[in-house]
Amino acid sequence: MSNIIILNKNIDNPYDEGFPDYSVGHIYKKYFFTGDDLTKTTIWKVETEIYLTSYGNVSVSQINNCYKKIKNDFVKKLLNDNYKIIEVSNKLNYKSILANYYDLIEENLIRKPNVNDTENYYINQRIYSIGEYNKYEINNNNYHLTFSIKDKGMAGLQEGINDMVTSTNKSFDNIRFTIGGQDMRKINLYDLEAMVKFFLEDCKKSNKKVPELNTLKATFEPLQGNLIALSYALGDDSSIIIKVDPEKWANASIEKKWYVLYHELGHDVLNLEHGQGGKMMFNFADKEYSWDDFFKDKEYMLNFK
Amino acid sequence: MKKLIFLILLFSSIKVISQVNYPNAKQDLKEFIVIQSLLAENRMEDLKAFCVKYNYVTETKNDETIFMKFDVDWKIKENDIHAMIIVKSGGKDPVSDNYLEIYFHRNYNAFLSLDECKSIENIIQNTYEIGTLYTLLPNSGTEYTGVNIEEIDRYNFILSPIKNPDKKVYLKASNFYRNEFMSGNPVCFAGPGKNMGIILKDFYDKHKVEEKYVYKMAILSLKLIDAVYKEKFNVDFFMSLKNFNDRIWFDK
Repeated sequence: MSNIIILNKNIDNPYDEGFPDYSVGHIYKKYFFTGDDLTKTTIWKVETEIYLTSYGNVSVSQINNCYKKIKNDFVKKLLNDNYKIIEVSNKLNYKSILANYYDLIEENLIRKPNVNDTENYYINQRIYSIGEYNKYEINNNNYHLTFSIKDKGMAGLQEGINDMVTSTNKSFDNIRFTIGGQDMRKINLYDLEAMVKFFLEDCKKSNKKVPELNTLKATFEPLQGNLIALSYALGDDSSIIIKVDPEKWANASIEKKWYVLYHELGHDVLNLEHGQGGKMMFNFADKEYSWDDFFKDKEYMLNFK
Repeated sequence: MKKLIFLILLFSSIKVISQVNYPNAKQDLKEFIVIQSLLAENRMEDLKAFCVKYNYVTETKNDETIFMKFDVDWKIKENDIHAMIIVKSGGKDPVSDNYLEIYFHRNYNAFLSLDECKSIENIIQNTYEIGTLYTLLPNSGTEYTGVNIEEIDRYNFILSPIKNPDKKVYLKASNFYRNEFMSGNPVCFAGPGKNMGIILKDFYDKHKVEEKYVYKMAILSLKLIDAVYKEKFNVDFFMSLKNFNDRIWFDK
């Protein structure tokens, strides 16, 4: 897994080396590295962002000249190290360390030829990027320069890891949405009884006692006011009676539908009053809910002692 | 005589070819128990963190979630056994909804011979010691009649029938025991967390056509009534223990 560390240096010394005299600004460096132990780490990307402010002592042209020199030195150092530019491309809307969006970044793929390989196989590939921000904007005195260098192979590996994280999230979603072999996202949201049965399975999963039912009645019927659903069997352990307003139900998101139904079944099955069982048993369905809200609040409700 | 030696050598070399190596068996079993316990306690975030820490990669295929250990150090050799875990849902009382189905296979070769299946079974069984559930020991409230009880220490007893004192029975506390009340008398692990125990069931599945087998194991949690009042599974503590019986969990 990749970690980052960000270093910040103020440019406030009248004679900071490499910058116009009396420059004011900052240098940020962001190191991307693998592992947790900094002494044994592999740094696979270094990104630098500099900004200088133009004012009476430092003109815009001085800053531009300074940036030009930094860029030249940076590229010169890389190419002196036997790297050759293979491909040049542009990247739009690049987000920097300081969360500035650079309109345009020049990206260069460079390679170091492997002298031992007759088939011209390149073992070492890197990508360096350079861009400037606010160069031509009026009413902004801050001038930004960003440049970075990254190991192409490691960057690819990191992308692979990101794909793995996405796959992991999908896998864990699959587990949390599935109870009794049934994925709740696949239940027909207009089959209220099926939804109620899923809730009962969820109760069993959480070791909640599920009573023997004589009556399970979940129906669509218009309700007054803002009510989306209403339970009618609080305190009656042998019955579940839920009425759902069809119009408000149709307009509710999938997350809200489940949230509201769990709320009503919190009354009907778990015999909870408003004020018991946490947020899910609050008096109002006061917002649009996310699946994370749903899972967090239902976990609290189902574990309520 | 020479012929006999030759035959012995031949058969012993055949045995070597069909041998399987499973160097991570004990560590894997510990990890299976943690994964199952976290699933049974519905602790998805903790399970996710565990998978990251112990290098599991996950994938969803045909609505099933698969966990596989990523061999970060490239330690697994060609014939080493490793496990593929499938998280299942749909367990009915008295077991919890989620359970694991684990397939053991070699790199590059999923199928095994019957002997190899038995070898894997033996290797796994050798990672733990089957004994007596702590709550069935004489010092934890279980009454024994018609026997003399000699207490060696808190976890070891010798029972000798009064009528036949030479027929001694040794009782040794272990978290692993055979559950005589369940069909097939599966091995159970009486461990920590909000469960009554974890059941290990193993199977050899024969391939339809060839004389090939797949060795698999199911790991299920026995549900606990009033689980909300029990302490949750402490992953770090459990993983820090070297042997399965370093802590007898039912000895509160």
